[in-house]
Amino acid sequence: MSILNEISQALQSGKAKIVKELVQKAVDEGLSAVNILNSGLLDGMAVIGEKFKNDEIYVPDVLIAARAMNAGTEIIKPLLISSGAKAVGKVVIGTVFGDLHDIGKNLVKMMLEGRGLEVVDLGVNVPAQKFIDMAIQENAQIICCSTLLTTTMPEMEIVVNAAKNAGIREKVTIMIGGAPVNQSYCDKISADIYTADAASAAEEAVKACKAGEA
Amino acid sequence: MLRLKIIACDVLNREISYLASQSEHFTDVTFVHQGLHDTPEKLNKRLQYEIDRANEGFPYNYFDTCPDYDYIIVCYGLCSNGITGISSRRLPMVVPKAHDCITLLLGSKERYMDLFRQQPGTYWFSTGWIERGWQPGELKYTTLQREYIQKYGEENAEYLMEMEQSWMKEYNNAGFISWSSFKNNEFYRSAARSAADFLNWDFFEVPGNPDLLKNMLNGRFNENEVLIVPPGAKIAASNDNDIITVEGDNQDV
Repeated sequence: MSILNEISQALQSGKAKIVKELVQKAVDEGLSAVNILNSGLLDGMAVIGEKFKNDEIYVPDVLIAARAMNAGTEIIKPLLISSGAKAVGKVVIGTVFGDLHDIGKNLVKMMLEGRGLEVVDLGVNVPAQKFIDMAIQENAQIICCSTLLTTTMPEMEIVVNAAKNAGIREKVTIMIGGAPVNQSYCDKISADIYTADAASAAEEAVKACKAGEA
Repeated sequence: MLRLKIIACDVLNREISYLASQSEHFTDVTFVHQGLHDTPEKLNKRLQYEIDRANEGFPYNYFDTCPDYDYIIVCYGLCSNGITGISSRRLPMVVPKAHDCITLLLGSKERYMDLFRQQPGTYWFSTGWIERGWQPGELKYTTLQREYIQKYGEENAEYLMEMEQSWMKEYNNAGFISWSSFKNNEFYRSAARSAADFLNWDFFEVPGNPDLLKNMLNGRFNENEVLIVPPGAKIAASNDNDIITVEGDNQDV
């Protein structure tokens, strides 16, 4: 089994320590950081994402896999930076005002970091204006809002409107997610991106940042 | 006498069983397993299945004297959008304007919103939540921890327990909704209280109010309380104070 394959397998079993060792070994053997990231870590995470979608595994499996991925990316991050690859972009993330649930938000955060995005985590119960203030202060390209409750879903629309009022709506991509959220709600409140799972959220975030650069 | 088909979450088993027995109409109740709000797509499929069955006809239809139920009452809130998109082929549906069962237990969406604002960070307890769900507390904690260690190893288990507990740390209160009609509230009260002690939450108790469910089960369909969904129409989230609407009616003006 190639070392990249081993990394992918260890990640899928959530073995953070082994992933870390294997990534270091791969670096020592001269594999490029980008290669390790794409063909080892993200490959493993893609398998996890797919299995989760098909109900073959559950949230704890995804959490430990994402944690293992982060252990691996920690090693290659300095290499990615020194090789001239700058951070893909910056994201401000949080669970909306009134909602205190953060497992989904934390998972998305880990996936974003795995994809090379810089993430500013505002935690839970975040007032709409705080998303905006922090996005401005951090010069973030993306705001990610999470909620588990239908009761607090309207907060997402308040974030969109607050971005308009602050005059940054054109500059910032607003992504929304959480169990009750769907594409039609995203359309209704004129947010930019909805995804059903954390892996696609990270993928879309990368695309949005690249599109912004073009 | 109306013939009412009631499809309800098992979390409301005691409340609905009690009110059904007191209803002035014919009531036929199907309870659906509690917890499907965690997987809204499954909840959706299951409800559609029950609604389709109710559309097949009234089970005590002698010589075609009473072929159908008059209404299908869906005793569900929006429940993570688990009810959006469902429709009834031939019979009208009656659906409470509610985010979840807490509204049904407290008696009105207004009272729920008041409490949601006054007591932020409240985890609610009721008879059904205690009997028919696995509530946070010492037993759940130790059992999950054991399971995680076995399945994922010590180190991952520690991490998973931390993730599991994180939202609980953000909550402040255990709110117990008691209905005075029940004889064993002391048991539920103490279960809620011991969970609160274990999690370092404050405990408080609010009296429930059966009026919303009572009205529905007695065929009193008030516009402020319920939405009547005509045959063929689909339920949609209204994203406003009405909470739900009929699909196509929630366009922005």
